[in-house]
Amino acid sequence: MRPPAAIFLLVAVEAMAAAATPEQERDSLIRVLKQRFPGTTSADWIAGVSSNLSGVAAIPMSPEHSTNFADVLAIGKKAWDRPFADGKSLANCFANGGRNVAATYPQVDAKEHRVITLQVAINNCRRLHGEQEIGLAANATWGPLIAYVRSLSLGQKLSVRVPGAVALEVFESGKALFRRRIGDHAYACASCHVQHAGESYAEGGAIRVLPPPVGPAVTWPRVEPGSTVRTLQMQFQRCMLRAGAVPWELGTKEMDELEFYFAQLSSGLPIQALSTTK
Amino acid sequence: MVSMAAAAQSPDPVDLGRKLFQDPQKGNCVACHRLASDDIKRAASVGPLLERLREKFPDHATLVKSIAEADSLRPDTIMPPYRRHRILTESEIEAIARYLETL
Repeated sequence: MRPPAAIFLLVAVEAMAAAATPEQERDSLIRVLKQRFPGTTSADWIAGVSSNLSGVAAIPMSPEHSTNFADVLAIGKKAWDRPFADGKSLANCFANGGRNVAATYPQVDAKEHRVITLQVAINNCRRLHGEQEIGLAANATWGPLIAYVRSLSLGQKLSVRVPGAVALEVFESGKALFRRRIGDHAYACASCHVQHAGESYAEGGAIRVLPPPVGPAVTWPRVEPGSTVRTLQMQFQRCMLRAGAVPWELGTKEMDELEFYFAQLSSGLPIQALSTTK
Repeated sequence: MVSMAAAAQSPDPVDLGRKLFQDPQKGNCVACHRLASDDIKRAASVGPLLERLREKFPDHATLVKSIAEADSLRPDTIMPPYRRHRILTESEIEAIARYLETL
């Protein structure tokens, strides 16, 4: 039987408060989630196979979903391959033509004191080659493009490093944002995704399950009904609306720091290019 | 004696409470809570099952407080601060409490 949420929260907060490094933070959270969902592993949380967590997690890319996913990836590939005016393309800015690089993002630029997400890296590349940046709110472009870049790292373990003091500061800032209550409803990310992870809620006539925060950074972008492709930051915006808050804009400092924190929580898990929901 | 017109203007608080309980823009209590009559597989589990609330809250004021400012009773709650953030008016909170007392 699952422990009551209040008891779970006390355990979670104690365990997480004691954490000092990003690795300890991640490990303590995983330990708490394993206590909450006995017999499961973080692999279950991203694969969605556990009966305890049925419906919680994303369904990774698989042959059954390949048609829809293939369409999305084809759109992303087209954007990736589109030649710049100087004859180069995005592939020229990344090692191995972009193969196996998605697993190292987001990164922290200590000099600039900012998070370099894949979106930022792609726009840096475009600027370098005299191309116009892709607007951070260009959802229809970013979802497939990010999915395609991640498909070049399929199965590779997410390896987001926190190499120094600045990166640690960014991580701490992301952690604080994760725990900050916002909006009319005063929800924090942690309220739903730690305190009530695995519980169900009703929305628009459907029952949805609150996924643990370990896993999303390797399973998003997500294909949704109507073939909308939602990046993790777009999902943050949706959560903020549910909290009755005005969502932060995509690509803001806060969004990027929160994404960096989520990446830490999923570090070591294999990347899926795309996922969908049950 | 209450006239017909006055009665029409003042809806039954229990009915009003039921509507507010379900209204996604107001109480939206169904988002998190399950009623005993709900199919367990098709209902929320974030909040506790709502049943026998008269027994659980014999004091009406405590029930009202647990709706209006649940965080003052349980700081870790995910219940929205309905009163402090003016999501519900006092009469709406009262109507929800009256409805809950019928469960």
